[in-house]
Parts: sequence; structure tokens; C-alpha cells
Amino acid sequence: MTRLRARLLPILVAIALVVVSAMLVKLTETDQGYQRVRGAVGETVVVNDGELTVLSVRFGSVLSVHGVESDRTDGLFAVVTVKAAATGRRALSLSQSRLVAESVTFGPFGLGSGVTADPGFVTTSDLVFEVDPDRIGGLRLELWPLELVSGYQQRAQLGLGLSRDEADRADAARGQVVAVGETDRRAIS
Amino acid sequence: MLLGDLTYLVAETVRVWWRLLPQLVALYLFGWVGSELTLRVAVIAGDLSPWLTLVLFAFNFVWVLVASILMLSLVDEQLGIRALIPADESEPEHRDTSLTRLIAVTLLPFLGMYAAFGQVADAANTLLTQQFVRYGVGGDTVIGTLNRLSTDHPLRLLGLLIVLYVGRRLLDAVHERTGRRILGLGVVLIESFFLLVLILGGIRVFQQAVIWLRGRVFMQWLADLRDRLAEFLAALRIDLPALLVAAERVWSEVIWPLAVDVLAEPLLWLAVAALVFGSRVLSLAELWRKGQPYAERLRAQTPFASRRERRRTAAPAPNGVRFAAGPNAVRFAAGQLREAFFGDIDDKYLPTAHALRLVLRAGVVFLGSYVVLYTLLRVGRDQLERGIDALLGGHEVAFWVTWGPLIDVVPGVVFEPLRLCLLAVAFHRCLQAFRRRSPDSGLMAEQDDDAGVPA
Repeated sequence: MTRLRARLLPILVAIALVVVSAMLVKLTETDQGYQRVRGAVGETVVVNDGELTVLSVRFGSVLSVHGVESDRTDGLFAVVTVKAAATGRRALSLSQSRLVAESVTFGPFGLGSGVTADPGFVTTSDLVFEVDPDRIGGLRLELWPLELVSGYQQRAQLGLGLSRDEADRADAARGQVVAVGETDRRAIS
Repeated sequence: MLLGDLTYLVAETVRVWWRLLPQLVALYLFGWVGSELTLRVAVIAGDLSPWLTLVLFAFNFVWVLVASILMLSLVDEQLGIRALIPADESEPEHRDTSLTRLIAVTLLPFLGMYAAFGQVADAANTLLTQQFVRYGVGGDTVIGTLNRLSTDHPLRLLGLLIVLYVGRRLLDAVHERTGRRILGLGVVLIESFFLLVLILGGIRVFQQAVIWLRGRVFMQWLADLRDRLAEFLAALRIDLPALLVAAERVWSEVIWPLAVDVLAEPLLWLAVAALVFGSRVLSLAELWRKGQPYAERLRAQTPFASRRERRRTAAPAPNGVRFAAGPNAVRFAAGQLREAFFGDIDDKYLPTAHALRLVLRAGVVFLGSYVVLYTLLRVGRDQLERGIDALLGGHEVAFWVTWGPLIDVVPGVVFEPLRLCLLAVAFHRCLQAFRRRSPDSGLMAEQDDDAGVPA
């Protein structure tokens, strides 16, 4: 019995050490290669030499572009109006976007998926997403630059503040038309 | 008591690291500067030819390897690893101590591990980024050039490898005869390029072979066989597809990452470090491991002896000619060729396998302790890198292309010397363990234990 224990114990200790190593690796693993820049509706955040503000969020199940009905959905369209100001020496270009809810992520609807502004200018754009109205709790907008090769980037994460009442408001927007405006561009005053 | 190895490894590693810190940092920076300069020149060399870029890209790893070998040798002096060889055994061994010899022996496992654990890919990405900045998208890149060669022209790849191998052997022979250092540098340059092409091109050829195999009728037969087995097991209420999916998931998400990241990497590095300390040390460790007293050792009989040593000590053939048993010149030439080829493999590539076999016999608790510390260093380095990123904040790629190499040197300066100290201390501990187990070295083992580590 003692001999068996003497043989078994080192093996068990070695296994325990390897398991500890594996847990260390697993627990410290992360795939987040970006810095979160957090904000909320109406709040201006600084990203890449520029400023970003979510002005409003509107919902509807019929999309209207230039006054013409363009698309319908069984779910909902979320139209997020974003103001981007290139306050630095370089253009502000955050061409990638998505809406992230508690349990699901929604990609952009259509081609215009981000915001850009030339140096000294401010643009206001509507970003469109098709969402599932039953899963929009905790919805936030994420915007980041598209780079073929990238390092540790900044990513804007702007909470859309959808409380229970807001979610009800979104639900009430079923069947309603939501308009998408043209991008407005003007010099920073 | 069971955690004695752990405490020893921690205490000795930190002690040696702290004592040698200035020298280790200087050597690390020497390797880093050489590697970075070579990479920069490699990018500019792309103006002339992507192949020139590839040659220089391969050479950048030699800088890192040289710095690692020098650091390990420094720690070796501090720990007295080579001093463990008894006086009557420590005959001068010129080949073992020369830097070019050490590079030749360690280059294959070093590059192989760099490729297997992603460092070659990381370096290639860095080069790719620099090339994007210089040439824009669509230019010839290192990996693209190699991929095209291995997928579109595998015979050219084979031809290139043969030419490189023969060229390197010839230059090696001239170098040994003349002793000119510049030729040794040429040998290393060709060897690194040869191995990089062999490893990266070989991986691509293997992937092509797997794709080709998947399209064969033979694979359909296997699929049919699996389906029939599934039908049979379904009758026994066993869901074979679900079982296979679950087994594949456990393998790919748990066992394989665990085996590669946590076990294979530290153990292979320990074997490579062992190679740096030379065949004499490894031979002695092998004999101690087997419980043979060193005094009874037959010279050149261990797996670590060079082929030349073994040939020298082997009994000659009755007619005194070993490879030309008859008057036939063709047979003589074939014998010489065989000797040149296998002698090279024996001397340069097999020692890695033997070194790995050796360190695996050092004891499970020791290996477990070593693995956990190696993992801690790895995790520590990752955390420091993330901490620096968080401190600097997110930036666009232009910032990282400019400052990235300089920023990356910080975790390297801290953790690479620590890692190499751990490797040396761990191998020293291996030697002590083998020595203790040797029946004839009881007295020396006691002295060694009492004295601790020679200062």
C-alpha cells in the first residue's frame, strides 16, 4: 500500500501541476484586441482624434429613404443617428459598425455601415440595423475603423439606453415607417 | 518535499536572473537589434527580389538564436552546468564549444518550434505589414512567394531544397578545412534559409497532400464504412455521429491546446536548451540516467557523440577501408555520399530527439513543476503586453508600425532572460537528478547537494 502510494503520489502531483498550468492559460486567454471607449446617447466620446455622439435611436418595420419606401421587415429596423466630428489633423473614419444586445449581435443593414468626416468637418449620418424586437435589451452601438492590418485599436461602445419602457416603445413601432436621412456634412463651427 | 523541485526552480531562476540581469539584457538587446535591422533590410531588399527578402527573413531568426545561445551559455557559466563533467572526462571539445557548431545543431529545432508555436507567422506578419506600408496591397510577400512555389511548383521547391542542401554541405566542408569565419556565417545563412523553406514549404505541401487525399475514392470507402458502422451502432442505440462530434470537440478544444501550449512547448524548449550545453553534457546525463558510472563510459558510444567520433572509435574493416569495400569507385562514391548525408543528419538533427528523450526521463514532479513555472512566465508576459497596450491606449496601425517594435522589446527584456534562466536551471536540476540516481556517484551527488549551485 505504501509503495503504491509512493508511486502514485508524484504522478498525482504532476497531473495537478499540469492542470494548474492549463487553467492559468485558459483563465487568462482573451481575444479582445481593442480598447473600449464607452459612452451613451447624447454623450460625446473621443475616438482616434475625433468626436462621436449618438443623437437618437428610432424604430420601425418599414424603411423610407428619400421619402420612398425601400424595405420591410418582420422584425424591426433600428435607425441610429450618429454625429462624427474630425477635430484632429486627420480624417475620422469608423467604417465598421454593429449593434450588440445582451445575447445577440446585429450587423448593419445595407451598404452604409459607418461614419466618416474629413478634418475640420462634422457629419451626421443614419446607420440602419435590422433587429429582433424580442432581443434588444441592453442594446449598444459599436463603431471602429477598418484596417487591413491592425494593432490595438479603439472601439466606440455607445449604449443606446433601451430600458424596459424603451423596449416597449420599440415594440410599439412595429408596422410604422422609419425614415433614413441623408448624411449632413458641415464645417466645425 | 514533493514541491521541492518547484521551490528550487523558482529560487534559482530568480537568483541567476537577478545576478546576470545586465549581461542578459545586453545580449537580448543585441539579438533584438540584429533581428530588427535584418527585417528592415529584408523589406528594402524586396525592391530587388522577394527571394532576397526571404533569405534575410530567415537570417533574422539566426540573430535571435545567437542571442539565446549566448544567454544560455552565460547562465551555464553561472550555474556550472559544464563543470558537472568530471575532470578526467572534460577533454577539449572544439566542435562542441564553437558558436557555429551550436547554431547548426540548434537551428532546426529552434526554427521548427518557432514555426509550430506561431513566432514565424508573427514575424512574417510584421514583415507583411512593413511590406504593405512600402509597396501597398498586392506586392510580393514572403509567405505568398513560398505558397506559390509549394502549390504551383512543388518540383522546383524540391530542386531548390536539394541545391541548398548540397551547397550548404560543400560550404561546410570548405569552412571546416579552412576555418574561415566568414564561411561559417555563409553556412548559417544558407542553413537558416534552407530550414525555413523546408518547414514552411513542407507545411504547405502537406496541406496540399491532405486536400488531394480527401478527393480520392479511397476516402469515400472509409466514409461508407463509417456510415455502416453508424447504422450498426444505431441498432444498439449508440449515436456514432454525435459521439464523433463530441470526441472531436474534446480533442480540438481541450486536449490538443493543452498538449501543445502547456506541455509540448516547455518540454521542447528544454530539449533545445539542453542541446546548447553540448553533447558532452548530454552524453554524461544519458549515462547517469541509465545508472552507468561515468568512468565505465565508452567514449563515443552515446547517442550524442558525433558521427565522426563514432567512426573514429569504431573498429576498422579488415582491409582498413570502410566505405570502399571493393575496388569499385561507384561504391566508394556512394559510401561517401551516404556518409555525408547520414553523418549530417546524425550530427545535426538527431541530437534534438535524444535531448527530448533525455529530459522526459527527469521525473514527473520535476517536469510538472517546470511546466507550471514556464506557463507562469508565458502568462506573465502576455499580461505585461496587455498592460502596456492598455497604458498606451488604442491607436491606428500607423502608430503601431512606427512604435510597435520598440514597445514589444519591453516584455521581451523582462521575460525572455527569465525564460532562458528557467530553462538552464531546469536542465541543471535534471543533471543533478540523473547524477543522484547513478550508483557510482553517490559521494559526488552528496557534495553537489551540499554545495548547492556553484557560484
